[in-house]
Amino acid sequence: MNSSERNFVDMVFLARPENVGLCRLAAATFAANLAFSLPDVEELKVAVSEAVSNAVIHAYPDLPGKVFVHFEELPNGGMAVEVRDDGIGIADVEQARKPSVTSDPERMGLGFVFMESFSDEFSVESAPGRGTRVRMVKHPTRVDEASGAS
Amino acid sequence: MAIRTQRRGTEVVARLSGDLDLNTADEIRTILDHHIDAGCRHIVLYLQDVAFIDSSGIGVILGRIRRLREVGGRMTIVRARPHVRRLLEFSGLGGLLSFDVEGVREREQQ
Repeated sequence: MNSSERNFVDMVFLARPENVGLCRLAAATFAANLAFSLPDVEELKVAVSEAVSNAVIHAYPDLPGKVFVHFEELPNGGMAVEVRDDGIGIADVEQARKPSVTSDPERMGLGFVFMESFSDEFSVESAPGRGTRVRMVKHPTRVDEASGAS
Repeated sequence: MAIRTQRRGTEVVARLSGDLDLNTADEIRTILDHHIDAGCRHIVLYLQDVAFIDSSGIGVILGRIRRLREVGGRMTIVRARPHVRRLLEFSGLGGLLSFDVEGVREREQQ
């Protein structure tokens, strides 16, 4: 094993509610091996949960479909997360990111708000019929200097 | 996710444990709505064993607060873990909720 190689994980799963927790747990386990504090990991779990939930709820209204998730370690001990689907896409991404806009009134449109709030970089690419790709980057609040010294 | 409920008159004490997310939201919504339909006007929600909540879980709580308010009722959140409470407050629920810790303790001792 080459320890200088940066870790990554790729997951593919069916867009079903029971897989949201599985993916969240995987994200937390991945993040726990990096330089994150416990509150950082809690925020990451929420951000990942929202991105995957959005894909499960919205991407495939008629047919079963897959969600593709990529976790990647960053040089500073941070983590990049990509959640992608091949679903129906979002016609107006800017509109969808507003808190008041939602097709599920009980979630209050908070999904994008939490993703943006709990990540340091956030982007959404989507077009009708061409799926959606959410990318989030989170940097550790406190980098453990000792781990990078040797 | 597990939910245990106890009814006393028009008050229902509900103790949740586990993760409150997209996968568990429907079950919790159905059970709490059943109690509201049956005349419950005050839900006391114990969250100390809820390890995780996201917008799906917050939506269930907010939706039940709205339903209770429509019939003159209310909800009290008890003993949410710090990160769960932070998310509830962050989502703007802070102003709608009473985080009643001491009041419930007093009542339990009576």
